[in-house]
Amino acid sequence: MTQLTTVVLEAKDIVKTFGEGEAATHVLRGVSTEIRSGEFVALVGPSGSGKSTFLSIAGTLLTPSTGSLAIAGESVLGRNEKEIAEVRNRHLGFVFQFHHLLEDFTAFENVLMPVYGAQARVSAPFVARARRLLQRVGLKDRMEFPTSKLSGGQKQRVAVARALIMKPEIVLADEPTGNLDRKSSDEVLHLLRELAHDEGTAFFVSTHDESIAMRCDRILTMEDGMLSSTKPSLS
Amino acid sequence: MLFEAKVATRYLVSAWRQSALLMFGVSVGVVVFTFIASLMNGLSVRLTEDITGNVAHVTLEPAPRLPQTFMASPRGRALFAIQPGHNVMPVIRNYRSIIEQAARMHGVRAVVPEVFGNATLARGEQTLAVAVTGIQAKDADVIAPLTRSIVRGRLDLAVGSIVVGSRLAAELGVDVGDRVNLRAANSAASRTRSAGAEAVMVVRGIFTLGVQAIDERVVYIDLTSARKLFDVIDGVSMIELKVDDVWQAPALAERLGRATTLRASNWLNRNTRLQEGLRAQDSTANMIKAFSLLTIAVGVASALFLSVSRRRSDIGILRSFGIGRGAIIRTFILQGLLIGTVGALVGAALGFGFAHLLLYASMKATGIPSIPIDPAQGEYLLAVLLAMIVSGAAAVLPARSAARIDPLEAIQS
Repeated sequence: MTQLTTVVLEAKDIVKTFGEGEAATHVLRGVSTEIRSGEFVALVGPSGSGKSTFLSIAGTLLTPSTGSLAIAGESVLGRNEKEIAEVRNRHLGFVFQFHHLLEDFTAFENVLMPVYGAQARVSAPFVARARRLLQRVGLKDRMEFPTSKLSGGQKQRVAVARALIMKPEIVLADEPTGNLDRKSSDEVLHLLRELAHDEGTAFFVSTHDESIAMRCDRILTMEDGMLSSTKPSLS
Repeated sequence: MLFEAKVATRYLVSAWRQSALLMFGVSVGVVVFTFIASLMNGLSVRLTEDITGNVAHVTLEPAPRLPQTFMASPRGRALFAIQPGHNVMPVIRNYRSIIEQAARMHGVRAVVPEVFGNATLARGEQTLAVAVTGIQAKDADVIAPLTRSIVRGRLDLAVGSIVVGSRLAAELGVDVGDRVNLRAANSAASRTRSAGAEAVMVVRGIFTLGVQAIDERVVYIDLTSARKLFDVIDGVSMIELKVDDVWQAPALAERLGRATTLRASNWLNRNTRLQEGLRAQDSTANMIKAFSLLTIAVGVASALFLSVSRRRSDIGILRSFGIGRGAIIRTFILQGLLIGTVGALVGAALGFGFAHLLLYASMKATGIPSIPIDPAQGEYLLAVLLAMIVSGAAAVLPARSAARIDPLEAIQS
């Protein structure tokens, strides 16, 4: 298990501006934060506050206008696309509001997809890990099911297993329960927390749901493009 | 390539109806390609065979005599000159050594010595100009299939016998067994007796080669009679050759011309219209084939663009995992190649079957099909290779557009 004190994500003075001149929109105005291994951090804030933009930058899917970003100690900005893709593959996992599974593949195949970013042929340890993860998220009997035959909650669990297959230092989750009913939502959140603990993976969860935020280790609140407050959860 | 192959095949299988339709489209393009190749090449072979089957592929003749100046004045004026007449027949004296030399050359199938001259053929008051070919009986079928072309009588080239074309026979009003008078219009004995030798011959056979110029003007007699008629004491007036590959005839003729100092011509020199026709036919066929390949390209490219659009979210998510642009490009090009390969193989098989079906359906009682299709000339391997290349190339643009998809945009949309 990774040491709790290890910084897995470090953002400094992140600024993101869309457009130029009078049409410029300043979405992020100098955001700085760090997330440590095993932490379960919520990112809350009203719509349009810049949550998704910051999460996208943290996930290296979007480049900031200025500022610096380090993932697992590796500075990301200024690197070429191939190198950034490698960083994403090795250190980051993603869970989206919509599961974004590949419908033409089984649950098991979906979980293994990120491995192809690192290996031409999936090695046996990854095959074993994929089985373990699917078992861990309660889909032992659904491994070979086409994802189109799974329920919304099951699909999101497959997405969680997929996010963890490469043993990332941090998983970025954008409204991971946004499309689920309360029961499924609670199950998925419980699962994320367990996995964060068991795998030592940090989770950075963007959410509108206050009850989810309250169950996190830490809450970061985004307001008007700035992280205005950081406070521990009350749970 | 394992990932690319896995994703490409899965995408094709999961949308199997669309894939099958697309492969069928490629197949149709390949069927058109192979059908046109079978038809046009078959027609070309038939036309060439029809023409080269009845004529010499290479002809060696003495160079035409030029006016000779026997004594030239220092001031540049000729004192005596001989202007050869049109009715003087040049002769190849050393024909035996030339025949041996030609027969030894690679690609030469047969060498036939001939005495060829102009004459008139008369029966009663009807007189017609004819071209007399004097050949040995053993060579009768070498240049043209005379025996097979006899429609009345038989191929008899004994002394005193003559075999005439059917149109000529009809015009002259002669039949097998009739006597005709053959009078030479030129002669090898140039200065003493330029023309006028004649012989009474019996018509032994009437042939139809199917070539109007031959059927209405050519008569065959034996070599000895021809020599006597045209005063060729020793030698022949031309040597004709058949070669294995008719398209090599120009090169062979050139080599023979250089080696013998004789004037060497080939069948293509005498059939420039055919050459032009075949070239035009080739261009047309190539154009149709190019259009069939273009259709394949457009079909594959548009289907893959559609596939890229449908898989936009998949591509975005794969890119977010760190799957590189190269892998995405290879995945879609592989789809194009798979579609092209399967479609082309099926198309080649269908084209082969279709060509055979058409061949048998158009077969006449004579054993010659009314449609000059030749299934063996379908260029199937070329069609398959080109269809594969075109399909792969057509996939490049959609593949590049897939690789350009921004993962964030694709995921958010």
